[in-house]
Amino acid sequence: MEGYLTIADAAAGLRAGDVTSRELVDAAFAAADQWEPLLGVYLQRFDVEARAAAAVADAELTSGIDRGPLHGIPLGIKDIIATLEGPTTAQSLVLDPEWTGDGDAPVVERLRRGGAVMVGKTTTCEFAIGFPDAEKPFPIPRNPWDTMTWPGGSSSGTGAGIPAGLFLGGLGSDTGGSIRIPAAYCGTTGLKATFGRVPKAGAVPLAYTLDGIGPMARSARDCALMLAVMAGPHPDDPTSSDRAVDDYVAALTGDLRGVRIGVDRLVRTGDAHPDMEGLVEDALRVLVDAGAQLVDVELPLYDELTTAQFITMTAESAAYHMPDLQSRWSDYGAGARFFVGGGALFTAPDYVQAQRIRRLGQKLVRELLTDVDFVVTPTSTWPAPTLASLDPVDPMASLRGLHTQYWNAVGNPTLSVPIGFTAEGLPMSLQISGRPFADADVLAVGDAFQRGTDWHLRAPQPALAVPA
Amino acid sequence: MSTPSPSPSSQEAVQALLGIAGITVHADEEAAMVAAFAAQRTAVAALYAVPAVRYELPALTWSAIP
Repeated sequence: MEGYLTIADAAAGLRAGDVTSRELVDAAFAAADQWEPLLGVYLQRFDVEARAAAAVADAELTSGIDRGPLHGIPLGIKDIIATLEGPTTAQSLVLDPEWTGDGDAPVVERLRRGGAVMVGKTTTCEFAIGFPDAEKPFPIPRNPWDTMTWPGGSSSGTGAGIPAGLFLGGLGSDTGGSIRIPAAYCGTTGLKATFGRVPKAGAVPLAYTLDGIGPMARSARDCALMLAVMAGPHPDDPTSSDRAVDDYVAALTGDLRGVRIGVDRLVRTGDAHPDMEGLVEDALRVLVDAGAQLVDVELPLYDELTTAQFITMTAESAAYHMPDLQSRWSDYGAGARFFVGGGALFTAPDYVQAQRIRRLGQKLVRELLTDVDFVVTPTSTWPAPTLASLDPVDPMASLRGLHTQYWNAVGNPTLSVPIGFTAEGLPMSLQISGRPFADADVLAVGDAFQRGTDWHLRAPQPALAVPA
Repeated sequence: MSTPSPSPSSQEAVQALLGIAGITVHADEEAAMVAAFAAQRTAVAALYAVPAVRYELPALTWSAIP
């Protein structure tokens, strides 16, 4: 994007007079003109509205009004989150067109009040779950590092659009990994904030006790800049927390001296890409170089909490969708309906037992995080799968090696950061988890890691042809 | 004394649960659900087998005030 890869750099450029918001937005749309429809990032672009908002942002800066680090910054918004510029579709034929005609979701309103410029609504898996479905009238998102592969989901468009330069950051949502998976597959940074840290009102729900809206951007610093604006309670979301919002940017010291990081490589859970082990060990050395002490740990109840997350997600989403599942099954995409409808195969005691496991898991993780300050694991032990390999009726085979669900089950903040590339040129990632509401600390570890690496700044060069 | 009913097959169970929910799925989807059902039940059974969860409260919140 005209030389600006990060929100932090663009914000500095805006204040130095080196660039205008209008130029940033024009560059974002020029990139979109170049790469769409190859990447399938957008469901809707807000060209007119964004350029008008950028003009206002520039005028305000000129007149001395500075709304903060997001002032004039182009952002993409996952299309399960309401914006006043246009309708929300959840990338589905099923969602009621009248859903939330009330304007911005609270989190979007906060970004807008912070001066951000919304450039469009980005692709998602239908209702934030499943896989792309070529039989439905929506774009197929592709990974800019290899357009034969999937950018991950469900925050697919936001994940793919950042490294391709279509915007400097954006919103995703994470119920079982939907921020961290596309961040991992696309070589960007994404934060699943502590459950309740960011209000989720104005977003189409997937699973009430798991959903969270979070920032996606090039860097942990950019995620901190976004979270600083997004966090805090809102009356429309009773699960949003009124705990004090930390100074996420001030926490980014780059110094990990005295920090104990637990490492669970999760090799017991299955196979991994042959390059994964080396990339993980290289990444861990960077953390040590920043001052951290590493301690081998084993996440408690790993399989059970992963199962509990799955039961919770599918049962809660099945309850939300049941009337439409009964009457409009084939209007759903194959991937979404298989996941959501699968919630009917669990019993009410199964659901409650899953919540008991989650409570026990929270306590055991809390105990673990008294011995260490953080836990790092692979986000996924495999890179992005090919689009052709995605099987809607065997989804877990397509998603092998993912390790994101565990942290949704317990609610802790978790940041995905890129750690390098496979021999095939696909990004790989680690996730950094911390104590509840220690989002600032998690971002600080990610920032310290990124001061010693530049994986998050690499830019793909997608081929200028839509693969057959 | 009644004789316990034999465990239903995965196919019978899946069909019954989908029927109770009122959901009609495609044949390939039902076949996939049936194929995965036994492993899914094993994973669910493991949740009841965790000794430390015996007296744990669920992670649910409830208030008399809506």
